[in-house]
Amino acid sequence: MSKTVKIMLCAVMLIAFTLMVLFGGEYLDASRKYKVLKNDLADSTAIWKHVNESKLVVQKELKEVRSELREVELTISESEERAAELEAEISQLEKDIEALKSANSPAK
Amino acid sequence: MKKNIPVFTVCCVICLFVFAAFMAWYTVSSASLRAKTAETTQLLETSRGREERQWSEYNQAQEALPLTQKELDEKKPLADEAEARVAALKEKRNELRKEKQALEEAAAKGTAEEQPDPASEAGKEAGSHE
Repeated sequence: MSKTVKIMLCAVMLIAFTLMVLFGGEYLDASRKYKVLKNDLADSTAIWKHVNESKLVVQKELKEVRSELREVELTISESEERAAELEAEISQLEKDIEALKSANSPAK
Repeated sequence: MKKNIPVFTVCCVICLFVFAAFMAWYTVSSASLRAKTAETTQLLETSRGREERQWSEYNQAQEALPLTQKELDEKKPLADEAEARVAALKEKRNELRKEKQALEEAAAKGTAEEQPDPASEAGKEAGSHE
């Protein structure tokens, strides 16, 4: 094998080695980035799950308070209706009593 | 007879084989890693969006809770007041009913006293006929 061929083969091997180092470095870098991404994804998933749980608790509490509020509003409206009915009844009773009193007094 | 081993050639061949193997591994692994990274990036974006939405819903509920509680605290006494008013009106109505009943009874008694006894009236009528 001539010296020139040997030198050329040496150069080729050097280039191959350089490429291996470059590609290897690039792969390691990409692999590190992928690990960081995976960790971010795990963190993000844990966060949204935790927030979801807290949200469900708060929403349940809110639902209970809203339901209680609806009941209170219903009680108010029903009481107002009933009060109006009772007032009308009372007014009628007062009229009847007045009429009865005036009817009774000449008889006495 | 001893054969001369071409050390340099063997080294060259080994190096080229190693390089070829490395390139084969690198091509496959790199493509797989790129695909996994793209997928994870997309998942991360989805997860971040979900995280944002959950935070927003949580904050909404957290803001609405004290307001609703305040509204409830304000309306509770009104409801109690309305119920008490209804109870008072019921009591008044019952009293008036009793009063009316008493007056009606008194009126009925008065009318009965004024009206003559139907039996004695019948006797009187019979005597006049004779």
